[in-house]
Amino acid sequence: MEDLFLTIVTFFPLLGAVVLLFVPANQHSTIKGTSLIVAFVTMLFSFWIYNRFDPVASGMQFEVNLPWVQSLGIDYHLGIDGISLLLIVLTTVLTVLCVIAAWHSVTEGVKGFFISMLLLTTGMIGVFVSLDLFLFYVFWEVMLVPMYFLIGVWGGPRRVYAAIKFVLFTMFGSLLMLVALLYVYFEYQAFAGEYTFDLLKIMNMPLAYHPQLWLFGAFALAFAIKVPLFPFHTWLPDAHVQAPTVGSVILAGVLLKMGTYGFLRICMPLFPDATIAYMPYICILAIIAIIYGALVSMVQRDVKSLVAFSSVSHMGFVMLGMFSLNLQGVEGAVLQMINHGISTGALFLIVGMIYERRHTRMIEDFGGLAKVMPVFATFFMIVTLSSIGLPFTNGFVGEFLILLGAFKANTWYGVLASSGVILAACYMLWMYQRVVYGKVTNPKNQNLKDLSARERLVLIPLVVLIFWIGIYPSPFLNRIEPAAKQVLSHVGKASTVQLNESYEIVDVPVLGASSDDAEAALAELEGAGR
Amino acid sequence: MNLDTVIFIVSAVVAVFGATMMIAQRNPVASVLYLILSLVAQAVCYVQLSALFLGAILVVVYAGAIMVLFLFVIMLLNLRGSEDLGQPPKALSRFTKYTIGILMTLELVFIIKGAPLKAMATGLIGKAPDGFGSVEQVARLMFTDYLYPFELTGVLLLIAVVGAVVVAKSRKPGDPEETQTEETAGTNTNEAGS
Amino acid sequence: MEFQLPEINLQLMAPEIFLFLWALAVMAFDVTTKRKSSSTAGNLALVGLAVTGVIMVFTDQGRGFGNMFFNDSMAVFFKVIFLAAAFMAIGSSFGLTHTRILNHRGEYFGLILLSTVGMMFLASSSELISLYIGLELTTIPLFVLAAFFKDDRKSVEAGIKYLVVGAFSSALLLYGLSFIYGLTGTTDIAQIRSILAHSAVAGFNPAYQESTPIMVMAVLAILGGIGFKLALPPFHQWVPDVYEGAPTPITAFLSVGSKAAGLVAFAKIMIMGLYDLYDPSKAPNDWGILVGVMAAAAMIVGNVLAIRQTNIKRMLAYSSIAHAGYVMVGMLALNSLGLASVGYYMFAYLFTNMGAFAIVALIEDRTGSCEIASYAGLSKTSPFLAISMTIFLLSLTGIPPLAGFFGKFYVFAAAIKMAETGSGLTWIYWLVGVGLVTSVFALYYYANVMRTMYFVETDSPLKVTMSPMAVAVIVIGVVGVVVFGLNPQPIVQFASDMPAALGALLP
Repeated sequence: MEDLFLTIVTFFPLLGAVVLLFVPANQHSTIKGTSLIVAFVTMLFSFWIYNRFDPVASGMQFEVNLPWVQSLGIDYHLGIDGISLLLIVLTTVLTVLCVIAAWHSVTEGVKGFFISMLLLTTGMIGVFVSLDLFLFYVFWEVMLVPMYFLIGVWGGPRRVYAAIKFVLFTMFGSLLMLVALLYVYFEYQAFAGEYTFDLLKIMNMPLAYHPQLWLFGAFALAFAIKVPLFPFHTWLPDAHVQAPTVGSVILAGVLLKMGTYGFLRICMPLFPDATIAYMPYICILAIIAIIYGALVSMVQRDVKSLVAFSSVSHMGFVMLGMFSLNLQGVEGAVLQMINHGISTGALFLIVGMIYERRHTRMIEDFGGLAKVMPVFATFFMIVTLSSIGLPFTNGFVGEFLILLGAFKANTWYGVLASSGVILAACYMLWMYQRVVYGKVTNPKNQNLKDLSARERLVLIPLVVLIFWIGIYPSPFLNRIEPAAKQVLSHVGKASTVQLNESYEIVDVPVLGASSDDAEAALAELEGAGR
Repeated sequence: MNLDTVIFIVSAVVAVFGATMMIAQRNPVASVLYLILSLVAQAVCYVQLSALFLGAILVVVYAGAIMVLFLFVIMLLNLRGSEDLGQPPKALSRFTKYTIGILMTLELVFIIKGAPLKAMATGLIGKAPDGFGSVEQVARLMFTDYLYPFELTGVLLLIAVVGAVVVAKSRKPGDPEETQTEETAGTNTNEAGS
Repeated sequence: MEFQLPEINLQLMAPEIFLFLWALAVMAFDVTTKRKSSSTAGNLALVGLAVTGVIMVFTDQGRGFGNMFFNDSMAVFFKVIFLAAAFMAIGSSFGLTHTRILNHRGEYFGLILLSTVGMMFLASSSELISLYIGLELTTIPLFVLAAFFKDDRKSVEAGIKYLVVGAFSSALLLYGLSFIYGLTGTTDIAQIRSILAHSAVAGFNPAYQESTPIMVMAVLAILGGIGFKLALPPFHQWVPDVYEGAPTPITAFLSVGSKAAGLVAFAKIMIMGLYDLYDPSKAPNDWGILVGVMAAAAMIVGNVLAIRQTNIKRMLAYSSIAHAGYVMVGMLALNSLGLASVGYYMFAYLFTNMGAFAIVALIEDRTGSCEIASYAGLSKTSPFLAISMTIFLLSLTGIPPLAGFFGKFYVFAAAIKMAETGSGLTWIYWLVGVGLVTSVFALYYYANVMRTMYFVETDSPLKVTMSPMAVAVIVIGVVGVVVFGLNPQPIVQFASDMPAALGALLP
């Protein structure tokens, strides 16, 4: 039975999409209801998995390994560790919220929209559960198609341009990945005499230094485009601004995470030497992304593109944390992936809500919304603060751990990255102030309705998560830790010099706490914060 | 230089000349006549290679029967003088045509110049065995070892006949417009009938 | 004088003989029945193909007519492709039968069957003369079929162009083959290979030093001749015009059946016969590199020129040039994956392209337009066609989990494996690189069609009434693309037998 869990959670949305195919296109409520049920049941499945997941054990859990294309050694190999577990839960939760959020906002092509949503969900979960490189690649590409249609059909005025740009960028990266993947495949055959795409087996193969550099480059390019790491980010603002609200939420919430997840799951364990060699460069790019994203956000007039550029900045943090190559950094990065999904997802939802009312997203068209829509203003406040990283919100925990890691890797990284936090406070609060405070200058804003029950229902779970992770992150960190250690130990194995260095860092007590457990450090810190 | 070589060179030159002139002529009758000349010269080459039967077939079937048929067709179609061959080709396509032609000729010259000419003249096989190229020999090969391609050729001819009928048959007199209306009319009657 | 007949084993040829007789029967039937029912001839042709398939299941592998006819696993694999391509081409012709080919319905279907017979003979010939005749059997009916719409100038132009190009390329090929015969003294492909490998002949030094000029000329002529059939640059210029002008189902049949036939011819001559010249891992690997350059040129030219096309048939024509390039990448890989990947690729391409052309044929027949712009709003008026077309286009692009993706993957895998085995083969990586970069171009123009179908608003959207047979063909295509994409194992297994047909020469 346990074997089936991952298969069910992955393919249940697909099943729902197939069922939807047979529902007549004009029965909107049936279509919406079915998709909601499917998304909800998928979420319950993922909670079930979360519940059954053993947080202490290291290694993969719920593994399934069946032959798929036997003659080529392609397997249907699924399994999750703590990192993928959290990302799956994030995906299913966001999907349910998106279905609810899209309830009234989608009026044209309802059937196609929800089918695309469900297909996308299957693709995303599939990426997080595959342990076979070929399977991973298949899911990675599969989700391009529904996303193309989500942006292209239901998007804003320049949607077609944005959709094609998005697909071309991603496709270019993933094709390079395909070649690298094949090279690894044949190298492994030369090494072990067996054809396989099994990630866990290939991890144990030693590779020479130079091929590693090339292969890491090819994989990293694919992932960096997805993250997106500076300078590969140019597709992101277009895609975000043109995508429908729900598309933006999924894009920011989950799709970007696939890039960082790829780094963790594939690049680091497979090419440890190259990881260490590339570390400074990637860190520098990440810092550039942090600062550049923040500065560009500051000058945006459109709230949605502001949030989009802030994503570049936030994902820069995640990359920096990962490539600090120490436990705090990686744990923080994984947690920050979840946080970014929650808070940026919520921001996009909020932007979508005022857009539905006013059909504009320009900051100067608003002002004084606090008086007209008090509930809305409250939610917006909480989410904004979480995005900035105020203590007691989720953003704080993640960013703090990342900065801690960055300082350990190199003081300058930490110093420069911290400036990003300050800039984030500037652009977010300034935007918030212009939109929500002040007098109602625009008469059109006079009679706006406050949030409906449905809209509150969408935002409440996210706010709960924001505070939960902010105040009591240990259930999440506990699950991340074994997985993060696993990744680092692979990197550590690579070079003995680097190994000692990184383990020293890991073992040093954090902020005087007696254990190396990041959670303890955090508790300490929270005390200090008070 | 013995007599064989002289005959070979003369017939080879005539064959190539005939083929070239056949393309260059704008008058179809002259084209056909040059082609016959070329075929006869080729037949001489075959005879020199001891392939008597093949040489005879070439003269009788190609130069004799098929070409005469061609002439009949041309006469019947009443194509006199120079045919209107449409617009002269564009400068670009003419340029590519000549460039490719010259390049290929140069390549041929280069290759043949580099080839050991003497080895080519005698070839691998050396002197032909007794009875080589006779009717018996050819027939024996054709109906035993090479029976399969022979049968396939039969199929090929059948297909060619069918194809020719299809292409030729509905090319009715009159302009294309008329043909179209006739076909449409056919459709209507057919639909009415069914 | 005594005649010694070789062992004939006629029963091995049962499928070919049956299909040939059936084709004659279809034509005869149509002449004798005064065209009472409009689709009987087509149905008969479909039945004939199905029965041939069944007969093929019960036909053994083996040799007939001495060594000239060899029904091996490669032949069987490609025969399946030919039969399926003919089946789908005939199925998508049903829409046309009512209006445009009325007077020659029997000949139309009969010629498709006869062309298929030719392909089948080609696939099982193990000797140069019968191979050449098989190729002619394949192409001569296609000349006629391409020009079948005699009231349409473009169709006639397509027929004549194809005739001229086809005749020229056949002559070139025959010229090359005659040199090979002259140098080795045999037309048997296996013998040619062993002679080239073991004994010094005038054309080739077995120590793999150098080909003599006469051999250079022979191979150039052969590559040129087959290059025309496969539409590899610089022999590709005929493709767009012929594909555009020919009746759409025939275009589809050309792009799949005829191309697969060309690939068989290539594999037989270049790999099985001239192996020692062709093997890219041998010291002077000029021919391998030349083929690689042609493949790269095909991928670049096809994909780049396809971007500018506004007519969907021309676009698919250029895309078929590009796909020929991808297949040739697999042909360069002389290992256990190479030929199998080519086989799988053609199998995937069969379902994808035949399906796509079936949709194009349907829409062309109903609206008379092949312009991409006229597909605007198709997703609203006919979601079935739009979704199917999207699946085919995605498969052509190579998006998983569709069959086209796995084909591309397999081909590149084979090439990379080849590159890893030998030194001096780094150029194969470049070739794969070209394939990948051009795939992104391909995505652009395929996505453009999807964009038109889904995103472009129009005042006069296309209204298409379906014909049941065309729907059946489209469904077959979709099912094939999806099922064999999700579960490629059976085809991979089937195709993996093929390298064995090349003998023990593979690692």
